[in-house]
Amino acid sequence: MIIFRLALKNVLKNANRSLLAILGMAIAAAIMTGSISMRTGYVNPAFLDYRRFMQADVVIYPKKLHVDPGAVRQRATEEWETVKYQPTFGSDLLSLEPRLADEGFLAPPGGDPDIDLAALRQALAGRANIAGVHPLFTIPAMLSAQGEGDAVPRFYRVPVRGEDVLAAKSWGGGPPIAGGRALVPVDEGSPHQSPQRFALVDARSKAHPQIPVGSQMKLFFPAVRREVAGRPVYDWSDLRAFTFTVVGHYQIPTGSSPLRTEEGLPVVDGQEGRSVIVPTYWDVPDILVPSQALAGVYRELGGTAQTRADQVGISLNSMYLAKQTAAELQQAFPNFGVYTVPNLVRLAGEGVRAIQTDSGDIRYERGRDQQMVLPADLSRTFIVLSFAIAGLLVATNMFILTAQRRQEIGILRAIGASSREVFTLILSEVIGLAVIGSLAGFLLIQLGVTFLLFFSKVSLAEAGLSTLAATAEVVGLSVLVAVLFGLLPAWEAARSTTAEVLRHE
Amino acid sequence: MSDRLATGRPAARGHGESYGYLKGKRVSEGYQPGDPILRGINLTKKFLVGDGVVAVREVTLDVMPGEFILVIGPSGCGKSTLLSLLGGLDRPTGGEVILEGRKYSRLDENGLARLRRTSVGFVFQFFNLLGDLTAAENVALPMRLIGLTDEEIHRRTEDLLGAVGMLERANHSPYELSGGEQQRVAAARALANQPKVVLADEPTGNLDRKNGLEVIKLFKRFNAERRQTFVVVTHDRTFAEFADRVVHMEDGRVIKVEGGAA
Repeated sequence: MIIFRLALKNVLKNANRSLLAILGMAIAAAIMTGSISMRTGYVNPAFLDYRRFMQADVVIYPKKLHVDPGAVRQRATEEWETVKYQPTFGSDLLSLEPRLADEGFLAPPGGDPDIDLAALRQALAGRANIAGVHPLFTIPAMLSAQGEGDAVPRFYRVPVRGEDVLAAKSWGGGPPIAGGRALVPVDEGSPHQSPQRFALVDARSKAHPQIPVGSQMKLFFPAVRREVAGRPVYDWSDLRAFTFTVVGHYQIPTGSSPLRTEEGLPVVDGQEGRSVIVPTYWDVPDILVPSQALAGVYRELGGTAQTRADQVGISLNSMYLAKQTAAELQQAFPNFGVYTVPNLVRLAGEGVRAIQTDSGDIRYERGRDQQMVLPADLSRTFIVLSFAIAGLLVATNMFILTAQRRQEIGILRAIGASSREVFTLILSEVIGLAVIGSLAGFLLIQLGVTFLLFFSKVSLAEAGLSTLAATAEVVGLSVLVAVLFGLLPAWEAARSTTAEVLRHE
Repeated sequence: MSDRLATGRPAARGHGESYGYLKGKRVSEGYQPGDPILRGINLTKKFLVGDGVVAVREVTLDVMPGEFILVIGPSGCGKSTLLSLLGGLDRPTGGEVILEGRKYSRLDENGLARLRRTSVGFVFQFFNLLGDLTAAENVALPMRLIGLTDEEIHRRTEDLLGAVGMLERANHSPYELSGGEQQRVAAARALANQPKVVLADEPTGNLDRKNGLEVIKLFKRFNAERRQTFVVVTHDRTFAEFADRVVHMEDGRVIKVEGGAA
């Protein structure tokens, strides 16, 4: 104990002389903390870019610790919108509401069901970190609609997605169901009679004529001829009609973008002389219906239970294992796009561009701009290099300090301190320096990160856990590096003999 | 001690310390009450500087329990080196040191360190107190190294600081103490683990006459009251009156021993 006390006194006493080592360790810790923040995705920008996340098959996102269904229901009574709530799965998607939903989280590309849920669940079995698995289903259909200029109704191929749509109270209410799309109403909607058979239509879709709110929409689904390994084989010669009431139009905002001409030049406001910024949207052909209704339709088509899904959301208890979980899932399912929320930072640049056509309309297309981010390998290299430099600084510093303190070490040896105790003394000081330095660097960055956390609707508990885990990781690595680099000076000090020291007095 | 060693098990000596054996070899043997407590036999120390400097030449010295010995000689005659060899701070080039039957040559560095903790106390010319600790903490340090309880450490520290007249200055840093006061604290530290032998290397060399005399008197008092053996190196012949024996050294050799038998 006295050895540790001596070490502490020495660290404090020599803090000025040890400043270089502390500074090196602080910089290394700061770099690592910043890297962890980005990697684990708890920084604010990650939450701002969920809407970019349109093409993932398997999405991994954090499970937040606070769930307040009442708050979401309250919002739902004010205006119609999709919300993420799935009581049967015990879904925590609700916890991601309203922000994630508002920003277009979990929008599948449509198509045939492809994800084997059983295999996925098996791959996830035994992982304590998995908080929930949330499959989303789609059935292809033909929409019968009469567009402008059509003499008779025509068929338009559309994907019909089961969404957990909560209709406004004024529309008679609807089952709260989970989904993953940001929907913003573009009209007041209309009351409907059947809570199960109602639909929402993308107001901006060019894939089919617009269906007025309140009108009946006829959807023709192909019968399920058979199911192969849980995947339906549809019989397009046997179409079955189902009627849904269109209760509203939605649109999916993706943010805003400077308006450009077809030639790529910015459109400038004539009076103000500034670039024109316009909101941007996705347009998708998807018809959204309650997932329970879609499950009923599937059974009526001759299917049993859908065992494959278009898209699956996986919520995690802690995002610290997100990267590892994503990597393992990607290996298990090489044909799927597996993304973690932090990947959104990388995807952030792939927004939507607004282009003014010659006719004056605005057309939207996906941009190819890439946001500058640090590649993972480079980030890792920076961390390793910075800690190596910090370690060398610590080692050099300790060599100098131990050389200056030969007398003290000699006295300790003279009164009976063993070489192991001298070794412990020096190593304790090294660790002390590392802890001080790494905590300083960590706090410097983490204060900023924590500040952002409060604005990203991360719960206090989650923020606290993230911070604790990051502290352990950063300080732990710092101490490990310090111990490795401190071994040599400690060993040098431990093997010096008393006579050597006292002889040179 | 010899009886315990005769059992064939490593000798345990208080507070879990064990230095009776080194790698299975018995290092302590044949010590009987009445034998010299400390023996230096044909001690030679050669330093590899230039052509080689012989600091101590074939010195033999037996120190009896409770003896007060002064080692006197001119500067550079090898008396401090001899003290280092006797205390196990340095290893002789030739010869052997035996403390209570324990041969230093059979102890490794940690074995010698353990021996210094419990059986040998050192007092240095430059006091060598740790500046980061208070006077009391300096005195307590050797006791903490052997793992005494806080209560026992506190009791002994008070006792020792009281004995050297430094109780009121217990919480002062060495920088706040005069040379004489520092040396008294250093003496208290040397006695903390109640060593059988105290080795003092020029303890008065950095003090004025008055303080030097007080320190020697202090040693003599401990020697008389606690029957602790003292070997004091000094160049000041006036302290000879306190010694049971005076060992004169010159050019690395013992040239004369006054009083008792060498």
